[in-house]
Amino acid sequence: MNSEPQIPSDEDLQLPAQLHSDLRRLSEGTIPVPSHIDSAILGDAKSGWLRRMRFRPIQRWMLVGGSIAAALLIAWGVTSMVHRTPSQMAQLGDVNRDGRIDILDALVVAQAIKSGGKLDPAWDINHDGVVDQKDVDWIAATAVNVSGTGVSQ
Amino acid sequence: MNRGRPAIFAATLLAVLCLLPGRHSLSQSMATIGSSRFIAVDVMIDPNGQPLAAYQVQIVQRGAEVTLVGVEGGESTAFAAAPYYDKRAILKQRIVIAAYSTNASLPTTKTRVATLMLQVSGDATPAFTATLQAAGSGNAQRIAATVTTSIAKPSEGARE
Repeated sequence: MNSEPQIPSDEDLQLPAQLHSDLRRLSEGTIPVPSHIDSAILGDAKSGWLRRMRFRPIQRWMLVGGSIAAALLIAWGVTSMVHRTPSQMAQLGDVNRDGRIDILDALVVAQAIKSGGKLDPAWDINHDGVVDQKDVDWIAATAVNVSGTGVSQ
Repeated sequence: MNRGRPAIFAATLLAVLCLLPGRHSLSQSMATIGSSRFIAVDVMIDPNGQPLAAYQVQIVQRGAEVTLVGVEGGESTAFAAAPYYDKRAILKQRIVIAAYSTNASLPTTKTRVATLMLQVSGDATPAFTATLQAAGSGNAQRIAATVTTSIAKPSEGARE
């Protein structure tokens, strides 16, 4: 004989009377918490909140300071890439280190390129990774610049 | 009779203009447009016996309204190419020209290193002051030299 297991319906479920009354009592009333436990929980919460509030201004100032520092760093980086100050330009093109950029600086680099001699990486004025005629032209153009609006070649 | 008067007047006027004492030659007249004229200024450098491998000269103009039209190189093969100059300074009263040469043959005596082609507006005569900012020998050492300028006739082949 093949008999299937019998699944009871909701109507068939009957809780014991004691359990039923206890559950009903729990759902209807409030669970009393001893006052010392209540005050301990509230004390922990208050001390944690005070601790966070104590460090919040510091965190805020750190955030503001960090943002300002990052903005200044980005501005400095962009400025240094786009625009070089005259002193930086002087250092860049002053090949013979006589304190000024003139055609003699261009001559030094041009002669070194032509002779195939050792080329100082510092002569890579335009930072394209190679010392070549473009660097010579940059130095010469700087030497004759009278418009003060940057180098034109 | 009346119809011939304008023709006679025009012919007479042309004859008188042609016979005017020629203070202006034909070439000078061609170099004059309206109230402006073109002049060429030769820049000469004397390296005093030393080989001239590089020069840098500042030229300041005063006395007239001058526009730089072009710059051409000099007579020596070492400086035959047009020198470096600031192309954005064509309307300024000051210009710096410079050139170098890595040639083996370098001039050692007075030589024309460049010629400035200028347009002068008005009748004022421009005056030029040239200052040698740098001159170098073949080993890129600074040398003593003298620079002079002179107004020359316009020449062909000015490069802008």
